[in-house]
Amino acid sequence: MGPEHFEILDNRYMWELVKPGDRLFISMIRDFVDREVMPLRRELEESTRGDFSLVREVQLKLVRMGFQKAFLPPEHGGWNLTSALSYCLVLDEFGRGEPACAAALGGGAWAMRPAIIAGNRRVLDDFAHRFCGDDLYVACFAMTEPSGGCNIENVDLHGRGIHTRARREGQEWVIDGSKVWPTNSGISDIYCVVCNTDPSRGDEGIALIYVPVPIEGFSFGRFEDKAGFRASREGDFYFDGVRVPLEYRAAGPGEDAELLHDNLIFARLFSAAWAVGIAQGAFDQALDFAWQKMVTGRPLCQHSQAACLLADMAIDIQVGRDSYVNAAYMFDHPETYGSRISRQMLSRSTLSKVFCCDMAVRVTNLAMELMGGAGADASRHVEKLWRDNKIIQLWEGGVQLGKLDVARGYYPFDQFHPNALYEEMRGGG
Amino acid sequence: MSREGSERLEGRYAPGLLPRQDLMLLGNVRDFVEREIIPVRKELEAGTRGGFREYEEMLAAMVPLGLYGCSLPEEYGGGGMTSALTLAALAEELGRGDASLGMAVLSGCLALRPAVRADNREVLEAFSSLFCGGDPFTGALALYEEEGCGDLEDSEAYWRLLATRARGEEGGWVLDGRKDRVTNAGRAGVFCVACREEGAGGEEAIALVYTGCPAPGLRLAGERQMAGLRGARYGDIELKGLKADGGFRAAGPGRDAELLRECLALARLLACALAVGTAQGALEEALDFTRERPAAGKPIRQHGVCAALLADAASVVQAARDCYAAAAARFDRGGEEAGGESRGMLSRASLAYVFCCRAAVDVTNRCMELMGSYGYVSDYHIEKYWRDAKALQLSAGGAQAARLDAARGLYPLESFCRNELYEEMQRRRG
Repeated sequence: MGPEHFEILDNRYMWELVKPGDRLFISMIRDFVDREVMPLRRELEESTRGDFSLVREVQLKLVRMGFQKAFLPPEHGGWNLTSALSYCLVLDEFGRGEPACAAALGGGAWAMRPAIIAGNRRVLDDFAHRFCGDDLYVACFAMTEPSGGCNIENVDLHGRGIHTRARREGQEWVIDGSKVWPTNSGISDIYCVVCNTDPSRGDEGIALIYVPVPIEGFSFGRFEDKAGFRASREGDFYFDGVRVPLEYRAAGPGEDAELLHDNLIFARLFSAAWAVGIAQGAFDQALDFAWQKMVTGRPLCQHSQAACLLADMAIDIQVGRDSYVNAAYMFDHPETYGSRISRQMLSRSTLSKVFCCDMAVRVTNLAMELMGGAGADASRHVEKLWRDNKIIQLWEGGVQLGKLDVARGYYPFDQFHPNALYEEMRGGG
Repeated sequence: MSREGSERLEGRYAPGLLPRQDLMLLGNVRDFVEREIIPVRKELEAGTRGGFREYEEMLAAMVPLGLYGCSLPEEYGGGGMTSALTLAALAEELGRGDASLGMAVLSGCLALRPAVRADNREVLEAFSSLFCGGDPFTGALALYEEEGCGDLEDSEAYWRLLATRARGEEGGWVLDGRKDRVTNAGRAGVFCVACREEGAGGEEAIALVYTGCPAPGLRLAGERQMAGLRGARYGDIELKGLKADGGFRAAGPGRDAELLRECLALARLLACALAVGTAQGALEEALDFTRERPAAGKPIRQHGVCAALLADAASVVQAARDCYAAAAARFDRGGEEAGGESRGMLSRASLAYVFCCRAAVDVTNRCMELMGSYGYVSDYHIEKYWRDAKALQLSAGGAQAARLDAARGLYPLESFCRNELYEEMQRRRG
């Protein structure tokens, strides 16, 4: 007999908020994680120190389940699974098991999202069918640059932080520049590249341009050696006069900046959910351990100190999940809650990301502490979840930039607020 | 040349309390860490996935520093350095480079500590020359077992739960049992094994018995893959009819339990210091990274929010250092109330351990956040400090068990506190 937390497991969030078709998909993913991923967690990570063959095997099973194409509109072969809430709940499920193995497929939904929202027929006609086959077709949303990720996401900079240049030549875009860190670097078949057509035009200069590879002028550097989240690949790559058709730009001046902001907010939401899933996985392991481990005559979980630690974890996780579920539902319903890219929505979704990531750091740490020395032992899985989780807190500008975005929802925070004293001090010299 | 954030030795550790010759040794260790260890940290750890060659070579290169035998008495060729404060400062310096190397060296000091304190000539004669020779030689304290045993200070519970048995036989000891997650299991030349003497009861049953390695009946039952401290070669050892010399029990009934308590207090003090070393190292890395890298037009550390984070990290590191240094100084001063063997001292050391490890976990996390994703890749070392700090928090019984030991300094916390309501409920159920 195990711990009796099943009723709570089945009622983790309000089902009424999720469409029936999406519910079915989410339970399919939950079963898949339990059946196909859980027993292989350690082996999956071992495989990342070799040829990734086991990771690929699991991903191929997901492709055959329809995970790769689910986000596409029905007329392009997909299931129209575009709700941010459903996408979040799916990543929550993956978080429990092997968070990173979902990245290669989940990246498709993120990178192709701008083209789908903009209704870019050329991009969808050319590439949507590739996601519907039986093989992996991987997409990458290429944003961060060597000069710093937070400069790209910083709304105060209006695109000035983006150094990858796209210039128009006849019926083509010519792209020059470099990117570091995008998820699925080096393994992707198509890249959605965040570029700048003209830094003097502010947000109007921001362009999202799709680049299928291999293509002349594109080159990849090396994969990063990371502390965790190893089943997902990151690295650096370069554009040297890469040419693509004009229609491969997601939409156009102004609209692309909105699509970028939309995608950034979307990412804040799914990052929060991923972190909650990881915290849930760590909690489940810690609870099993505390149920079985005997300490001074009774199970560890029957000691008040351990019970309170478990309760602290459960409180944190549930509040985190409620937070992202609400935010994602609001994001999905602009008719009620206003524009998806408003400062309020940026603030609301980032608030959930900051909370959930900090929370998951706390919970995974507590789970390890509850288990004592066993918590650091790889055979118990928690140390892996603890390592995997940290990158989510760090990516997309990290917690510190995130907090600035939260503040923006409450007043017009401006990093470049005019400063006459500064002018005087610097101007005089 | 020292790095930003790394102050001169004289001012760092409890100024005025460290003797001059100890400062000289610390200076040599710091130079070695800067010159030989820091440049190859990444390679050291990469090697743990196949044979530990890099770590073992580094441990061999450290022989001239004289650390392996530093805590042994001078008459046996050792350094005679028994001050917990010096050992802790040494741990911090090593932790700043690579905490696994600190564990490898200091576990040897810990393992021999009971024999040194009891002046057990047989043990010291058998192993001192090996610790003080030209080859790297270290030891291990074999304490923890699969079933509990985190609750060492509650000696009533502890001796009952100890499953490793020592049977007196023809002037010697026969050991049977299994020890979990022993530091240095893969490289120790001597183990100090905590066992329960058959036929005895209470604290008197606790026996510390030494055995050399390799020995018939002693088997390494597998190395553990850990989140951090990968070079510490954690492993399980199995004892099956292992024969130990009669004189290889540290002291005797009752005294062994006191020595074990002292050893655990010292182990926690050293773990504190290693943790502070990792936090110090992480702070230096973060200062370095944020010096030039720009965000919104100026270097990261010129932003108020980042300066505040760096200041928080620095203040926590310094407070943690002061905390363990004061505890170690008290340990050294000794006496009825304060000495290493007293219950009060274990509480004080556990308090420092809980605080310092939490500080290190927190500081390494914050420093990583200052570096964004770069903090997460092996090229920048932060992620290694971060994993090592967490592993340290889970060593020596773990911070949660240590909290109970800290509480025991405040009042007599009993694992089996009399509970009449409990007894009545059991009767009703029964």
